[in-house]
Amino acid sequence: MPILEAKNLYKTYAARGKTTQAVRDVSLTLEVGEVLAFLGPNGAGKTTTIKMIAGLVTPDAGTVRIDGLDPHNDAHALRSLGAVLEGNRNIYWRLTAEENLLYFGALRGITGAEAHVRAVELLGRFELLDKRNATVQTLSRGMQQKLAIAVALMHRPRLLLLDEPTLGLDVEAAETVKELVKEISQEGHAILLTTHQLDVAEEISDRVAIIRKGSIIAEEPTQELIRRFCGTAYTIEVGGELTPAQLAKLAELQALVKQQQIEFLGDADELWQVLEILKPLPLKRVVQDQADLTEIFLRLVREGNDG
Amino acid sequence: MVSLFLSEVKRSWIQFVRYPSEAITLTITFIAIFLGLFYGFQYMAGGTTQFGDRLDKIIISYLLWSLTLYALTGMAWTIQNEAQAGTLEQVFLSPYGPIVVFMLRAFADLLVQLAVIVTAFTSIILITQRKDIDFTPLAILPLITVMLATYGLGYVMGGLTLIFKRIMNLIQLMQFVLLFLVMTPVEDWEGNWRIATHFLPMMPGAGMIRALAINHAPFDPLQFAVSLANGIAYFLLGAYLFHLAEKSAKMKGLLGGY
Repeated sequence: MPILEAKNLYKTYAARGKTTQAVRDVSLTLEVGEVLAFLGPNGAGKTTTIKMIAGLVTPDAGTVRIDGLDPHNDAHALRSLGAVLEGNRNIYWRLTAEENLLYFGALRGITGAEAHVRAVELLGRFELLDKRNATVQTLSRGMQQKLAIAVALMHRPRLLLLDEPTLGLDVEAAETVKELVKEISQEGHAILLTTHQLDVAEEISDRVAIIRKGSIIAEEPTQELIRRFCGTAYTIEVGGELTPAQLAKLAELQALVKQQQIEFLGDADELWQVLEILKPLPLKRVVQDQADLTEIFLRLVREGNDG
Repeated sequence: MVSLFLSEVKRSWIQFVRYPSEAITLTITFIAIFLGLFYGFQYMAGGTTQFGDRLDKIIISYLLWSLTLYALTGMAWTIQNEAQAGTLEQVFLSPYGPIVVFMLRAFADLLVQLAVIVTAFTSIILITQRKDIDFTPLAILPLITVMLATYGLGYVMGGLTLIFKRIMNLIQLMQFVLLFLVMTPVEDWEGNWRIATHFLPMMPGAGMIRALAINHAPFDPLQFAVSLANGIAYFLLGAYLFHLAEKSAKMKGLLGGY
């Protein structure tokens, strides 16, 4: 049985006489030990979907099952769920790292004795033992984020929701969090992760779901998605200045222009169209690239916008 | 749940004492406001000999008012602060549910508040030389009924905060409503007006506390039954309205916002 089954979720918000359909017919499943990267531009419906899964926003239609239980009607479902929500501190700034762990352990329903053991274990695991008595407000942003993830793991949830876990972190801290996420999934936790850092998603996710304007536009295993788009990415370097007319035509084909370099995702026919546009500029280089998740994401999202 | 309650007490106490200047300021402010009221009232009354009982009533009513004010607005403040700090949604992820968590938190906060009130009460008695207040342990029973009704209204305020996030003006207004509810000397009233006050929150219990502590009246089981029914009814009504507010906030996606 999947640890998460979200089926046909819909959500519309109404404000000042205007309605916005935030989520349309979104379905997601997640198995134990799997990492699903849930990607989409700002306002696409990622956070609303995550909050519907967590029972924090009530869907207009659709069902959510966590470990077979409905988090909207059965509080026991929350025992299998841990979450670090985007834009939130998630932890108490006046408490120390250890006090936060102990408090949230009790809040999630584990005993005091169990919480003490688990807190020390997590502090060690997240390399925060020397900061156990430091109040959260004195910790670095990276340490705070590690602590927020540790807090979410106190009650050993089978499903972990991580909404932008690397947002605002420096390179080193983001790398640490990325490694932790990998380790946590290998221990058997299912992880639903949203991030704008697509290299992070590419590296640690087993599957990718891309949402745009409230609807899922792609969902498949990460490596399959990348393979599907391989051989369709090109970098072209030209020897002169592009005219405004050429730039406009390239934009129509969703080609990215960086000074004299053009990055383009498309098949061979479309490549000839690009080359035709570039005529009569001298071509310095035409290279077929290995597509990465960033390019694929941009292409899918832009296609959707144009459609 | 015991584990959660103990954790709430610990959390509440740590947050109170971690910044001693805040704790000391709170206690001193509490005493200063009372002394201002006390000496102001004494000055206006001109120091008549029959003033004693009224001063005792002021002391008891003020303590009751401050205790209930804290309980009434505590949940709303907690929700507002947690929404601002970004921890509110984590509270809603607890399998105990927000009604239980906020109740235990309110009880825990009350214990900390009681520490302030006992300190202040002792100081007030020493400063004002009022040594004849009979704080009979039986007064605890009607106090419980008053607190039940107060927490019921606290749930309503908390529910409104879930939806509107900022209800500062209402909180300020409630201070005066509360003055009326806990300071009106209903224990001295007779007839239909007295009966009508049985249906208003906190009033029957507050009157009974003053009757026991100041008028030295015997414990009236019937009056206590009325106070208890009043407390339970308002508590359940408040919890139900909070539940409706929670449903509404989740439907509108308002829990995380501020």
